Amino acid sequence: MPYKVMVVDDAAMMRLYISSFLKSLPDFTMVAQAANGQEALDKLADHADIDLILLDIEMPVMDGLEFLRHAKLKTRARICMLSSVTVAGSPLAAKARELGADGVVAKPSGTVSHDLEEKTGDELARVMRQLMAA
Amino acid sequence: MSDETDEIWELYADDGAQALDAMEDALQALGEGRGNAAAHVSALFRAVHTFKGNSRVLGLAVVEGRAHLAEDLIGLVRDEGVPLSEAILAMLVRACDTFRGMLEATAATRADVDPAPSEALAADLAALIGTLQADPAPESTAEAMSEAPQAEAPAPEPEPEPEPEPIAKAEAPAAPRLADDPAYRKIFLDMAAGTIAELADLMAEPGADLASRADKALSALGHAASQMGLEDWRAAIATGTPASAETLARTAEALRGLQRALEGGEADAGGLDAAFFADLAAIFRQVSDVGLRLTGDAPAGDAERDALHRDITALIAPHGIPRVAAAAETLRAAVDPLAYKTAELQFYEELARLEQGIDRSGIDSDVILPGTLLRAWCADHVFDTLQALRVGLDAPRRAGRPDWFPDFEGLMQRVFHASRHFHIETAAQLTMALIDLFARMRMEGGTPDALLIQIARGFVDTMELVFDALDQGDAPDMVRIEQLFEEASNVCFVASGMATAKSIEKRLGLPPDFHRVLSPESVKAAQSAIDAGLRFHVVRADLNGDEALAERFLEWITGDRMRMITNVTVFECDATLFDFLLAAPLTEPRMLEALADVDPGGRHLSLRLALSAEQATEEPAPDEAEAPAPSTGGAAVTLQMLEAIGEISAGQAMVDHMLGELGAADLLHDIDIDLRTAGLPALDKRVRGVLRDRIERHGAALQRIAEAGSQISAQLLQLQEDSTAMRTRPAEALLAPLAAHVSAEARKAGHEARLSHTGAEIVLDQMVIEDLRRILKPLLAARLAAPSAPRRIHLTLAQQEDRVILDILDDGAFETAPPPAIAALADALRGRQGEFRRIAQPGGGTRHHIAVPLQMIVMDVMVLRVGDVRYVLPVSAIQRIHQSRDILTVSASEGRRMLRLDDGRIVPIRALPRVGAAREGDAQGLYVIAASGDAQIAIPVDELLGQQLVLRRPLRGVLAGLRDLAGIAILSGGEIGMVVAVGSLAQGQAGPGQPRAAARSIPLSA
Repeated sequence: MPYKVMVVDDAAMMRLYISSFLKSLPDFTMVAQAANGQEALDKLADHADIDLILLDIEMPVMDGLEFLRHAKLKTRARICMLSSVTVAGSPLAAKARELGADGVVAKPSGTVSHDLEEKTGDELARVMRQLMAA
Repeated sequence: MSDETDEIWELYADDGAQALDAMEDALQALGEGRGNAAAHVSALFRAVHTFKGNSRVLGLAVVEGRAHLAEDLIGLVRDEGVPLSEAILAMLVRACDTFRGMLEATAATRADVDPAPSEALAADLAALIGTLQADPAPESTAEAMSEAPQAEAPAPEPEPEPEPEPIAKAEAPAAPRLADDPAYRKIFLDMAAGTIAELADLMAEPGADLASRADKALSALGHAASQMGLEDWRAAIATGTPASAETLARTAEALRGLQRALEGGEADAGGLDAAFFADLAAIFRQVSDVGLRLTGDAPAGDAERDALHRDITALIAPHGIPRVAAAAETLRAAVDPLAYKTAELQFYEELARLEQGIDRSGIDSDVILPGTLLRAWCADHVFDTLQALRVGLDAPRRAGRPDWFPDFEGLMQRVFHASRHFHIETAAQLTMALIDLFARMRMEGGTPDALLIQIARGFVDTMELVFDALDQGDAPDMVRIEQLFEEASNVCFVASGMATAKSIEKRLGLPPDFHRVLSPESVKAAQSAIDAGLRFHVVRADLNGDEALAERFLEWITGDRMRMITNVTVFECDATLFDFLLAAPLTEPRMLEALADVDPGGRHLSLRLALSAEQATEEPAPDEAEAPAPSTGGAAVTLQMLEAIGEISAGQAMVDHMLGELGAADLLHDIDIDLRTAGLPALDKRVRGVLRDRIERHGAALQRIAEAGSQISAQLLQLQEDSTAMRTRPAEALLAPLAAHVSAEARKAGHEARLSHTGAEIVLDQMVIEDLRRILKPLLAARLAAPSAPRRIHLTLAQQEDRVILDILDDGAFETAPPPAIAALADALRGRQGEFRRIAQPGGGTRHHIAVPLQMIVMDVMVLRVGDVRYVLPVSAIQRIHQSRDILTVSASEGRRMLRLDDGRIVPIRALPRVGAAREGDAQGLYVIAASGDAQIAIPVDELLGQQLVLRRPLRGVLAGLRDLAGIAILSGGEIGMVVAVGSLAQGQAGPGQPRAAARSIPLSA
């Protein structure tokens, strides 16, 4: 059974790119998506079996860090930050670690990274698999 | 005062005024509740940050310090979820007014302000920050201040009494429970309230699916309780599942009780009250006393440990807290000091878990709470933690193994807690940033690279200094922490060998919003676009509402004529928009036309900014221009890379030379000679004319190639100089952490010792610094562990052209037989042709004289020509250039030639070996006056070719025997330069067979 993934990103195109990327990984499947943290929290109630959440940070209504605080209590799913503002060693990457993010990956070309699969696909897949194996 | 200085101060005044205007605007908007509060808070933060940075650049420490506090306060609102209260706003308005006065005063006087008038503001800011960190939602400023320390420097939390003893090794403390965090607690309580209400609904209208729905709700809450660390909740839920109509009411009631307790009633989940925590103080003392006895001459026996256990049990038994009871049992069972300390830490951790839900208002402020104790424990043991980190980082690494340093993250967590203890938030964030960097490396399944290790070592050194300063009651220097944070943020760029995000921002003059989204990939794309001479445009796009337009737009920006560099989210009212940074050959009008093609209605796309070539070369902001260069960036420049650059440079010089020879050849003349030699007739005039035209065109092409080659040579020169400069650091980077190391080592040995030093300004290659660190640390540790250990140590560092001299004078007793660590050091140094001497001082005390030979080092040199040979002389050894023909032959000194200087002194002339061209130096009377120690010499040269940074390599093979030379260096033009050993030359003899005599300048009157 492939791992069930929820994608949380406010950019519709980005959700499409991530969805396309996930289709290339036979061991993962996207079962839900949300445009902000609040929507994601609501969806968690109906998707208790989600294994992994790919989470953007800069989103309206409820941002990714606030969602992280809530979701740590509501789900057993692993949470991997996937954001343009989580460049390695950056303050927001540090904050995400402090709040308990299981994995942190940076989008390669900004909020809407059309080249996600090309430039960061290998790294993201590796992190996702390691989180599931842990 | 120079024009440049005037300009800087004018810029400071203008920028400062603008920053304070922005601060005022943001405060006014926030006060009136206008617009987007988050945006105003961000603007407020940026304004104060700019003001602080500008003040730092000009060395206005008081202004910077006050601004820093204001920035920290805003940071709590921006980053830590602290609500913006009237008290905070009032404090910031007051700070803004004070900053105005400071700006006017400093701009007028060009000097820092008197700290006294703003001390009250600083104390109030620090107090408010302290209170907000402890309790994010104070009722008022006055209330906040009444509980907070009144100090400008980061204020430590109250120390636990008695202090736990340092331990050699202990289990890492568990992370604080989420339940201890008020934000999490609220989230959990909301969730619990929802679940309890759901259970009530189920009981009111029971259906066939009652059990499954109740189980689902309870399971979710049980998981949350587990995440929160609320064992009592988890246990209650476990008891109530699987649910049934009979058990549900009981479970719901139990949950309501726990809910009341967690909401902060009279007692917490374990029924603990203020008296319990007050009584703990006596237990802490007992725990520590027993620990001290275990390490002493008369170890605590079973009876004492039993008594301690009895007292703990008496205190905790009424509350039924099994985990603490188990920790107490472990404490009783521990018979050796190490096991006891481990158990002691576990005991503190378990107690720290009990802090949830207690009503703090009922607890005397003198009472130490467990969470405070945990952070205090980490702070108290932070030097041990840092030492353990250092040992781990220095240990030989197991290549490719993700477990190369398994304790790293746990130890760093301790540093994080310690930083929080002292309220040094930047340090806490830096710690987490490093955890992030190392975690990513771990995820990649490899070991951290040299650059990351270097930053981590720098972090350990710096934190040692910071905590040492705090330990001594001094304000720590936070500048280095901020630099390290910057380096950590840049490490992924530097490691990729690319420009940093900041450099691209400066070159393009990018809006600040782009700062946080510039990744290594986008920086690379931007650099490539700059190199290609493209124009940059910022396009705002509303993509989420129109999928077709979004696809059209994304297709356009990823097409052949456009490069998408990066993009950033922009929140405008309720809309989520995106600013795209695009690069294209299009001018602004053409860009507008293109946007109109993609979005004919013009409602979704707009051109926000066009960045021209002029903007791309914009000067950096003053605070950035003056910021010290990240010191560890040079770690990415390995010696191998430097050698490679040198070799490429040499190869290019050879190509240039060959091209020059080809270009200079008279081919027609050569053909004539060849024809004559072969007995063939001379060329016809018309044939010669055709040939000449062809050869001239060929020559012109060669000339163009040679010019291109020269450009490459110039770039290589720049690259070589930049690369060598990146590897160097002032010896301060070595000596300052050593001072902290000495204090820490002495403290471990039960006494006090201080290290002073000279030579911190000397610039050394990073490799040399590491080498010296490896020598000095064990030496100092051995001295401090000696029976009559020194209390004062003075270290003098000096550099000669081929060695670094360390002179360490201390007031400790001379040890006739050196300890094994020192003996091993001495052997190792002698094995490397270094020196190691221990000298007893007449009045008591010990001197260690150490000379460390330098192998490959970066040197700032003057290149000299003598005949056809190029020599390089360390600039530090050159006293002056002298032109004179006033030469004496001193018969009393075996006919040595001496040069008379303008001030009357005469110095011996020492000539360098000459090859090729005839002697010119003496004819011109051109001399370099160089010195080594007391010795001074005049070196005749033909030409001074200029100053440059070079990498000195050791002489090997037969070259190693050459006298008066310390190595060789590849010069920027690709030639080989011989590095002169000034010390050896000064000691050298005038001619074959003559005895060596040290050169000394002689006053003429002598």
